[in-house]
Amino acid sequence: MGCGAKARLPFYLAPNSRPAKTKCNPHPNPLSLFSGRGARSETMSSFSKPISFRWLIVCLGLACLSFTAHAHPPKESETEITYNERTGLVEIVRRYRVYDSEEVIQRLFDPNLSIREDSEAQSLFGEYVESRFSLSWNGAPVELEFIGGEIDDGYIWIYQTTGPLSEDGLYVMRDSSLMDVHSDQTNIVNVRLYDQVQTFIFNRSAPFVTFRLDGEDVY
Amino acid sequence: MSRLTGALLASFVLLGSAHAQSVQQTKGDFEDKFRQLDEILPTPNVYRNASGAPGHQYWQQEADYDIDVTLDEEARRLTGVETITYTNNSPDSLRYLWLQLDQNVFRSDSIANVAQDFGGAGRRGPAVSAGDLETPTRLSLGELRRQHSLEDNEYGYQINSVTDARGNALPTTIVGTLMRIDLPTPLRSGQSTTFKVDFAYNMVEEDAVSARSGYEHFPDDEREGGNDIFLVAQWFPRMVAYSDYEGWHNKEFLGRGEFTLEFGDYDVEITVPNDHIVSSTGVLQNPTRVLTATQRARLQDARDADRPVFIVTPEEALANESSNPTGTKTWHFEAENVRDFAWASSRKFAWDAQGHDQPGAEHETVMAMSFYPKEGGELWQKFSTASVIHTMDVYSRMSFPYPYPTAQSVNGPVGGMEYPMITFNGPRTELQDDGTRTWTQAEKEFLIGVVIHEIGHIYFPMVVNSDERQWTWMDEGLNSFLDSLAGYEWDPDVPWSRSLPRDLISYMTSSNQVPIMTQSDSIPNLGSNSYGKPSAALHMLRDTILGRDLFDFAFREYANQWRFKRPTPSDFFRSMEEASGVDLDWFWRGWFYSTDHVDISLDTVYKLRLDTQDPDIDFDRRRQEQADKPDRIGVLLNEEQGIEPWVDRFPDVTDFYDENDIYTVTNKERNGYQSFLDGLEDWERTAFLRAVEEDKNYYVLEFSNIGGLVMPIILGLEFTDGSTERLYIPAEIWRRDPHNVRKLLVYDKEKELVQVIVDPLWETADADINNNAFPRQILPSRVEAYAPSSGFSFRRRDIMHDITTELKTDDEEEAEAEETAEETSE
Repeated sequence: MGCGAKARLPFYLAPNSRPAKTKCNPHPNPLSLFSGRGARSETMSSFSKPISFRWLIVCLGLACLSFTAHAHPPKESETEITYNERTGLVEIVRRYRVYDSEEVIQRLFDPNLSIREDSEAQSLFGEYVESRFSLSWNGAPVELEFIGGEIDDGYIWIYQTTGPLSEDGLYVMRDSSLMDVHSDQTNIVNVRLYDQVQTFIFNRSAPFVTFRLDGEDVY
Repeated sequence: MSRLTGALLASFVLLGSAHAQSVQQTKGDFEDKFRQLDEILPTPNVYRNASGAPGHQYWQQEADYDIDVTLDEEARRLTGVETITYTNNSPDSLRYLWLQLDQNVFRSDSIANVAQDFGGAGRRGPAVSAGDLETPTRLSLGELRRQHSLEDNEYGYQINSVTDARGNALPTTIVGTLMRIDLPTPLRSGQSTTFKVDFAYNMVEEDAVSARSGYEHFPDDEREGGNDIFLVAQWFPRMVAYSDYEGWHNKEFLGRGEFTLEFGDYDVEITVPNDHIVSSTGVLQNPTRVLTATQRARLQDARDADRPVFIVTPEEALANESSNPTGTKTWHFEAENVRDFAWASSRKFAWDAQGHDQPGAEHETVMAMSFYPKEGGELWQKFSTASVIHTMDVYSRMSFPYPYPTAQSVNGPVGGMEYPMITFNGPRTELQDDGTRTWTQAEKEFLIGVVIHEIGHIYFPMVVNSDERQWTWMDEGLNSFLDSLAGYEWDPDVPWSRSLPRDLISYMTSSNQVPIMTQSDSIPNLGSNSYGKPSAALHMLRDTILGRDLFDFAFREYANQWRFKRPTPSDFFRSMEEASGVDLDWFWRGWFYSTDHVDISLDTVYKLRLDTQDPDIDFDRRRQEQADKPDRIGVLLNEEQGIEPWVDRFPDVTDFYDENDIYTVTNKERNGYQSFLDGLEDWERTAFLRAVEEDKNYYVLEFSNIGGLVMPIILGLEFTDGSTERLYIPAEIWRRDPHNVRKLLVYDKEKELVQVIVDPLWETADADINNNAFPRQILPSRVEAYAPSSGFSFRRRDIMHDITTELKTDDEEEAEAEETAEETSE
């Protein structure tokens, strides 16, 4: 049965009967939330890296005056990080407004690029976002695979995956995407792993965050 | 004595907390999601009544301004003298007045600049060094430019004098972005006072500082030294609002919460270089002195035109770019009943205009006008004024006729900002090597979207004067809702994103959010919180919960009763309820006062069948049910092993029970059935027998509310005969149990359910649609559903530009290849 056809499924009427399954997706989830519990990583090295005050100082220098004006909607992006039980992968789904992404590639690469009409521009934006987002675990970079992206519903979507993330250990996430062009850019990241949602808000004065997945204090 | 004071204070504190928790649920986990809002909303009074309308003694202050201002183009400095006439319509005597000094927000010692929280939006804990963190140099350039700009220039007001009508200095005290003027005698209720402020300030470079106004420099223009566009707003010391519910609205300007002001009449004379074109709030009073005869004639023609007419053509504007002023001109504008005044000036402006007719309105012809440099170009020529007119069409239908004589869109360095009768909008064209200008589809959509949004703001909050310094959502949320209505009426195929329920799911399920009812400066994600979420809520209220007739009537009521007045959130909530006749307290409570999200799960569906009580029917059914059960696994395995049951091995040994199973009906049951029928009252028997005969399908649907927000349950039902049905279950189903509810659905015998889907059209921002379908379906994630063939190859190039590409011949390609080879070898 093709996905275009309506599923004709046996309708189980007794309580607790097993639901029928279909691979068709008449209602693709706009953001595919709640895919499941993040799985435990196989190894765990001890975390011993001290806080780098040098880094802190660099950032203090930047924590200046992000006075911003809003009469039109401020620039915001949304990212969902979820574990997909079916594939065993952590999925990173990022969403930017089409116009915001076009401003970025035009300013940074070529003012003649059009995000809607140039597939090269879209790829370029994907690569750009990839370069502005990173995740490390206990000081070591987490390898992220760039799957691709698409334009849909007024947004440009960027897809990345990585293997299961350990519940233990210290993570550092950086998301400075679009901040080099939009001073008021805010990136919201929802990390939905291990049965909780942790939302991080990134902006120019806070382009990275330190967190754990087990709910423990980062100190 | 002090002990007594302490005791009194303690009792007040206790009283306060007792009041806040006057009703407590101490048993079970019941939460009254439908609790009426009257404990939260302010008590109605003679100024604001319980129906959400202005009360019978509603008052507001009036502030009239007479301003003479001069733009020093070289120094990028404004100097002005304003005479303010302030009328105290309040019942109170005022011993002092407060003025807003918004330009002081750019002072390096302003609260906005000093109270920046480092890493404020991140999470607790210090940063650690991580090898993959990029160097921040690149990030800092924009911030460095801003810092340099603030270091190199002296920003903020220079207040030269504040004097009364007789020229006597009045005592003043500056507190950040506010200034207090002490009056020699209190200003009694009903009295007016007039005073004069002599002020000056240096304009900020908008691109460097990111403000709502400022100048933009064009160094590449032919004119020596280049040109500037000046967008002038929040430029004169303005009276702080004084209201019945807040007194003086003297809240420091921190850069985000915009403002609210008093209505008044303005008489403004603007002196600029004599080769500039000025766009301004109000109506030009001296066209004969500042416009040529040709320009005046064109302006007249534009009133009746059905397409924009140029007052200053793009060619003339281009020629003006290299001109040098020979003196100054003073443009005189007057504006009635506006709450602010802004203007723009440049020699780069082309100017088009078109009359918009509103038969029967106070202003039957509104001049829709656009001002833009060559950088705006044809994109602006085609779509700016057209968008202005489209906005008035849609917004006037949703609220009231456009109440001013002009509506303007000016292109400059500000991405988008609104003032009465004038808006600043940013989108531009791109210059190509061949000298033409093109634009992308996204740029076009942004231009139309931003013009609609900013012109829409002339209705909300410039006329329906809500207080954006406190409540961003009251104008941005309502306006985002209306701008998307106007957007979809412009072109339904363009995704005017971020304002529909489906756009808000990520935000509404995030852990780091605040209720919409939060003061503007304290909101972490203003875009989602104050623009998107209220807009999504209103879309639902209109299209799903109230329906368009009820919603539109109520919304127009709100808009009209608060036109040229100052509403608060409670006035909006109350008005919408009063006029629609629908209790919406649960809706305001859930969407505006809480951080719940929508996630309704259809947990299961049972099918029930009415027993006939007739043993000849029911016993057969039981027998069939038993037969339909799968065989026991052990029996099946026995068969597989070839174990023959005893009864099969000795078939000759039988008795009564081999002929008559447990479902065999005897007269005992038949007599019992007859007694059952005889025992019923007549009406009971009639009802029972009819139900038995109809033998309908009874379904029980069990829902749970995972997100917490109570919402109507919208069901898409599909039946065996292929028919579908939409069923709307009002939110009130959750009133006694906000966690779990059941719904009984009854259908004719031949109509059997195949599938049920909650919210099939994505109307309610339901966060997890994995639990929306019964039977359950496996929905692939976006990553799983992604096919490289559909990604990043959506549409082809910028066709406007590419269409001019010349076709290469084979010879040219070969020559090019050779050239490249030579370059490489070098």
